[in-house]
Amino acid sequence: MNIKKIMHVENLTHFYGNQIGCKGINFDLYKGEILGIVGESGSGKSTLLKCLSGEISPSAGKINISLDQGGVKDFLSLPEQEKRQLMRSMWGIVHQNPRDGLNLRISAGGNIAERLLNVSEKNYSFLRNTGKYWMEKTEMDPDRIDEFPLSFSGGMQQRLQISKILSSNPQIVFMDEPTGGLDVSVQAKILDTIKSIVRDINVTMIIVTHDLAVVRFLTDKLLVMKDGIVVETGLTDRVLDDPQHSYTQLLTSSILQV
Amino acid sequence: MKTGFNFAYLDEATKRMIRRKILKAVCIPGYQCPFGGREMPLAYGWGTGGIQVTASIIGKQDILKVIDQGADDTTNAVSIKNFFKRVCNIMTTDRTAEASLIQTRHRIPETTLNKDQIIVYQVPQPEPLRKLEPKEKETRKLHAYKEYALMHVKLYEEISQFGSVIKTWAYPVETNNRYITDPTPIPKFDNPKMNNMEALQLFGAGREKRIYAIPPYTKVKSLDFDDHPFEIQTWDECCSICGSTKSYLDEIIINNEGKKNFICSDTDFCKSNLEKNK
Amino acid sequence: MKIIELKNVNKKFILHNQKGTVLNVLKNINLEIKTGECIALVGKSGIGKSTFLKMLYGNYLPSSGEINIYNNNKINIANSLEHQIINLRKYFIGYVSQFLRVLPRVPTIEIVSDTLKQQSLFDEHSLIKIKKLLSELNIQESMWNLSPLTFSGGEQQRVNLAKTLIGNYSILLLDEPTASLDDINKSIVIDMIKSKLKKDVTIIVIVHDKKIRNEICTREINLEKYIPNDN
Repeated sequence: MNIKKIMHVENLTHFYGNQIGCKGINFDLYKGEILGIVGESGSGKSTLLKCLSGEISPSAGKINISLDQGGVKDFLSLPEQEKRQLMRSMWGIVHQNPRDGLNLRISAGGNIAERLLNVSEKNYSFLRNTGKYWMEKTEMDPDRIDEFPLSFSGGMQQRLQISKILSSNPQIVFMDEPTGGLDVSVQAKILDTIKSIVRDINVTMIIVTHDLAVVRFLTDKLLVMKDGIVVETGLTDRVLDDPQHSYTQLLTSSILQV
Repeated sequence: MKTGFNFAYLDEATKRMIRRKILKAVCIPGYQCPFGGREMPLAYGWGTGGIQVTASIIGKQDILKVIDQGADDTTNAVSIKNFFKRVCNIMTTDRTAEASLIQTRHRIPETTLNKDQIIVYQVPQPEPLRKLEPKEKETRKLHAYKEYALMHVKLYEEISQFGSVIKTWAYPVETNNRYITDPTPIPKFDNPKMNNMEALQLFGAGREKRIYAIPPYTKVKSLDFDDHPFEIQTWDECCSICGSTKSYLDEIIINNEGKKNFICSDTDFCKSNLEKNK
Repeated sequence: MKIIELKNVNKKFILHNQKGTVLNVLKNINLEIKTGECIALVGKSGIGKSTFLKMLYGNYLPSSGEINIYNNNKINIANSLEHQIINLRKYFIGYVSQFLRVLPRVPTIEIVSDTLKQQSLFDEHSLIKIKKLLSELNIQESMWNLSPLTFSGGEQQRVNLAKTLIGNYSILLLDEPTASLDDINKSIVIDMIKSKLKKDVTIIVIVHDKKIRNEICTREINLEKYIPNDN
């Protein structure tokens, strides 16, 4: 079976002045894979995510992407327009704080509609039905489609953000600490929702988190970062159950038992 | 004509600059061109943009008509007409068909404009996306990359809240399949007239210092959804003066009991209609 | 036809954060396993039987050597891309661990059907098949829609078995599948393993009960001979 490689990252490096953000990052991402990036605060995982999602342009390195249409492209030299278009439809970021990813001045349904309108669906009932479908899929009450994001709880806002991103059937979803600001019970439910959606649709994801339980739940493979470099990589359960690098061993042995 | 002024008030260098901007605007239908707007002897918000555009293109043979909300005899229209009479010594008219140049605030005349005419709109806010995206840097990108989802989201929100699009004036249009354009605060009743219009349409925003244009015979489409198509206003009543049923009607409260009448907003059309019917 | 091949496999653990202690576990493993064999791993407790199984599943990384799985082509588990191993696990190798590890809140029946969904084998008859398997394993119908995380140890193990046995795998790795089961359930599980063997499934099993080993296994591999002598 031949699985398509959709992202190839080579020697990706970013400096903030003299300070290392991330250095010499290499990995490949295949269609349908869920990649976790773990590491402590300041390990460079967020910098890496920003480089990958086009939010900052790295100091050096290469990112080749392979889109459903258009073959292999050099992501870093894409014109701004194409990058923006990519982020608005083919790719998507789920931010840690849902308020960064939602437009608070428009309703829940409007937020989802905005994403769909980027791929040019000018049909009201379609927008409406798709909005409700995705709200249901993320275990929200579709009757609340006309309410504004601020009337939702933090967990619901996060669900709304996920609905919004997934509604356009994206090729790659980037998640930055998707359950970061939520309490444990809400966290578990959202992870469960994400997991069941992943089972249903063949979406490729890159998840940045410091939470090893999250990566064990959701991801197929793992990059472990420390001080801006990747210290270990491999199958998620392999890295967590048989860590090779001293930092990974420290990380996995630091989990508190409940 | 008053002496001590250049013809049409503005100096020739300024007029040339504005004409260049107008040419650029005509070349890129619906695109907002920044221009070096001048101080006019009139406060911002009273048509300084429109006046500068008119002043730059007016010639000695032109016959000028100025309307405000469709009427030739309201303050804004009368004072602008008098201004040009004074600084150009040109003819003015109330008759739409006689005019070669029409400056307007908030209406398009009911009489169909022809290819020898130019209509100049006064523009309060040239940026249709401004209320949705406050940053100019961002709105320029949205236009440049044709990222217009937000505009449709606005319509979506109105349908979901009120059952239909409630925006009745300054209803956004797409010009020449490209730029989303603010048609100025004309009623949406007038939007279809902009489509494929024979006359050249010029838009001047004095405070915002922008000029944009819709060349003759250009496609202008009011935004809508497939299943919620664009519709114009209709009235059950007719004009209580001329009896017209196909013009844009203003609602007038005529006594303290709240009795109301409807009359044509376009005074010239109303007058000619009345004469014709006699 | 060989289906699994180990070449010069060594496994040691280096505990960097415990003064760099090196634990040499297994050394110089060279062996072949043929399709349809049922191999029992034997050796005293702590010798590395689970480690051996986990290496075959790609869960543990050999320190050196090759572990080749012969699917249509050869895949070296010790040195393959993640998605290849994941694919192998989806369709080819099933693993039943000692402890059930599942998402909270997911009902038992869904956990079991998930295996079929992953293998794209889920159809209108699947639910009947799943229900039959669960009843055979003596899991009461009232529990099918509950998450197994609240079940007893034996029940959890049977769910764990059901989850893997429902699938259409060519290799099964079973880590003490009968450990916490009573005699009735034990014999049920043994029968299921036997019927898998009839379908030419290759099984590698850790089981302490000699009687069971004699009943199902075609060969025993004693890990004693792979203990490094420098330990």
